[in-house]
Amino acid sequence: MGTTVNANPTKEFFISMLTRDVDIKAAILELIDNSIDGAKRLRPNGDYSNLYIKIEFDKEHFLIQDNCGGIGIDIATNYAFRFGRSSKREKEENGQLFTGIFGIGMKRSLFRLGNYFIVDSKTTKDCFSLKVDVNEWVQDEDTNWTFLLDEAKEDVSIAEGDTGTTILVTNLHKGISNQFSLAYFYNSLVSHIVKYRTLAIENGLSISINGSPLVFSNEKIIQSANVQSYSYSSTIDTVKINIIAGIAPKGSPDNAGWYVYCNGRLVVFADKTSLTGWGEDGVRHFHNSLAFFRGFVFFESPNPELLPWNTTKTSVDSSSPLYIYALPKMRDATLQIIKDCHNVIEGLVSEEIEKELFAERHLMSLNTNTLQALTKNSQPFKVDLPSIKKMEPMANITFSKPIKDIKIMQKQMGVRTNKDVGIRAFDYYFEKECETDE
Amino acid sequence: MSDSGRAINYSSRPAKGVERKLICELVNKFPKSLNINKYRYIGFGSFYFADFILFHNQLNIDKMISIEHSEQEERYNFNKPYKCIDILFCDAQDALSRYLDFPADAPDFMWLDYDYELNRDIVSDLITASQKLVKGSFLFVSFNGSLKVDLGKRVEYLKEIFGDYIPSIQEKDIDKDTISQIFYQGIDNAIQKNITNRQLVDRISAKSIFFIKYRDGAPMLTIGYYFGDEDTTIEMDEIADLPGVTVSGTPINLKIPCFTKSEIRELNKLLPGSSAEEIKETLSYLELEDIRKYIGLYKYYPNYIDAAHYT
Repeated sequence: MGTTVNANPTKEFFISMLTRDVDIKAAILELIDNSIDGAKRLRPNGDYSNLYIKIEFDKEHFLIQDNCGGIGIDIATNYAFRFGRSSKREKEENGQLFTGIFGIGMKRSLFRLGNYFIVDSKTTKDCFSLKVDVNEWVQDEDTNWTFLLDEAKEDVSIAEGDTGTTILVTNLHKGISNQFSLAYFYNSLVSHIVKYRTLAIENGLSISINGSPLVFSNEKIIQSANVQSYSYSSTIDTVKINIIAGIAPKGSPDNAGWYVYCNGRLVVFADKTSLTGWGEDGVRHFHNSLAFFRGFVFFESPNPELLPWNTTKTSVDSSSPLYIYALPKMRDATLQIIKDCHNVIEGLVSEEIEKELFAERHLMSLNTNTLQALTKNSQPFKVDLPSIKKMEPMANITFSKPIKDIKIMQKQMGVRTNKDVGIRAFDYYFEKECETDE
Repeated sequence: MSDSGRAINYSSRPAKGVERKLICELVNKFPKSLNINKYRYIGFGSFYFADFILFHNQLNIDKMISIEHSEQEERYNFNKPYKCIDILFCDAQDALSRYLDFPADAPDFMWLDYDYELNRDIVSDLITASQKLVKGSFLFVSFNGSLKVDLGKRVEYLKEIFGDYIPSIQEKDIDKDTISQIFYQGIDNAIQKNITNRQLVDRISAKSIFFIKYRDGAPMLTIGYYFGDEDTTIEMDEIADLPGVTVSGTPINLKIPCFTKSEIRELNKLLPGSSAEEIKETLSYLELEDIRKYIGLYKYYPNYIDAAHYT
């Protein structure tokens, strides 16, 4: 007679696996994504004016409230609160591009935050309230993995303006509660959301945290008669790939590098590592002298599960064939831009020319419309500065030598500055010792 | 590339001439390259365009691109031998990534013939080529294969050239005899990785089919690849006798013996069909080894009108 081992997961185990290593800010961003998906369903035309997401938190509670359409009971009972995305769910066909995929974002976030949550939803047709006391639910030894919807009403009629979802989490985990009471956390959350905002923000959707609305700035790139951005466009298996790369006013090198978006949601911010090809395959490592570099990769698909992001939407999956497909095009762009801007990199461009090159008025915002125009045709990067073309390619040589030796050379050569010593020494050796064919 | 035609007269390097003809023969007879005349040829023509002339005449290729990293456009245009040649005045990276398209149904015959030592830029160009070339294409690369770095600095030197594609090798195993295979291995690593990365969209493979080493002053290496289907097995029968054809990572030494015009005429009268020993009986004043080498290459032997330096 065999002995059976009960291999069913305990709910406790499941929750701990689900929420392991989930960053709090990423978890909150996940809930924001769901609200934005609601907005996309509600307003297929992309105009999100008067839609809002309000977030409030302190050491005792977390609240996110939106007026973005609510969650239908049908979806709630069969899909939204399941673990994993049911294959039975029909693909949403209205052409919108959603970020909610793996079916676990909301649950993971809620379990991550605390032990008691209430989800209230109103759509135009129905409404419900779901209350979950996680400790009670876990202790219910029953292998029943269901939640019970309280107060579910179908066939009601609700004005669109009154629809929306409110999620309240209380009985916060100790770690979460501690974080929420830090002033630092508020700032860091705001930065994170602003950084990883989606392009939906520009279309009227407003987000506020503890009463303060967030201000978003979008990405800009130089596009002028003299500077033409690199653009590439392609579609593989329903996934559209658009790549734009070029230059932007130097400013902080923090903002330089590659940005990767999936369905309008930023997942990689200003990357300067091998993830986006720096230091690999003949591309040099990023250096602060390249602070003007901006590259943007947009992946879009009506099937978000095909997109090359990782499950927490915090980065790309670098082994994704789609991302591997995009990398050589990104490499082309990086090499072209570095080569064309060589003289800018070496600081050899006159101030005048640099000012004109990076002038405010040449800055183009990247939004849905400009993106479409820019990627209509694939074209290489081009910067056209006639006075630079005729320059001999130059490079700087920097080195240190003992001051007393420099002084001896200055006297001997009859020059005043260190720079002149270097130049004379270089010229001397070159003339006397180097053979050229000239 | 880069006006080196001013220093080196490419028309009269003997081993180069043989190499050119071998490559011509190889792509023409290659079992999978039907219609080589429909290919586009891409190379570094310099002022002499020797490869362009040969391939246009012998293979009837009439889509030709010469890449020249130079500003002396006038001189190159002046020397352009045929109307069907377009010259791109930029470096290889720009030509491949900015100015040339690679449609799926139009394979290329590309020969990146660098006359300088292997460096990071050459490897970068090869990476770009392996990202862009379509099925059916040929890629040849030539470079100076000398090892000029002292013992103790060689692994560092290879790392500088190949980055992560450096073959696993120890300092003591790098010398002038092994360096050819080491260069090959690094290049093959880079090409294979980039070919593998194309699998989402292209079922493509890159197989090396040609590898020679010769001296024209400096030791030169030329490696040739064919880009085929994922599971291409190359039937080498038709080209197995061609010097230089090999799928191993070891180069075949190309040695061009020196003979006078009169001697060549006498040798040819006894070919094909005679062995080196048999020929030696008739032409006893020639070295057996030289005769042997000649037999392997006689069809490709260079003809010069000014042969002063051979008599």
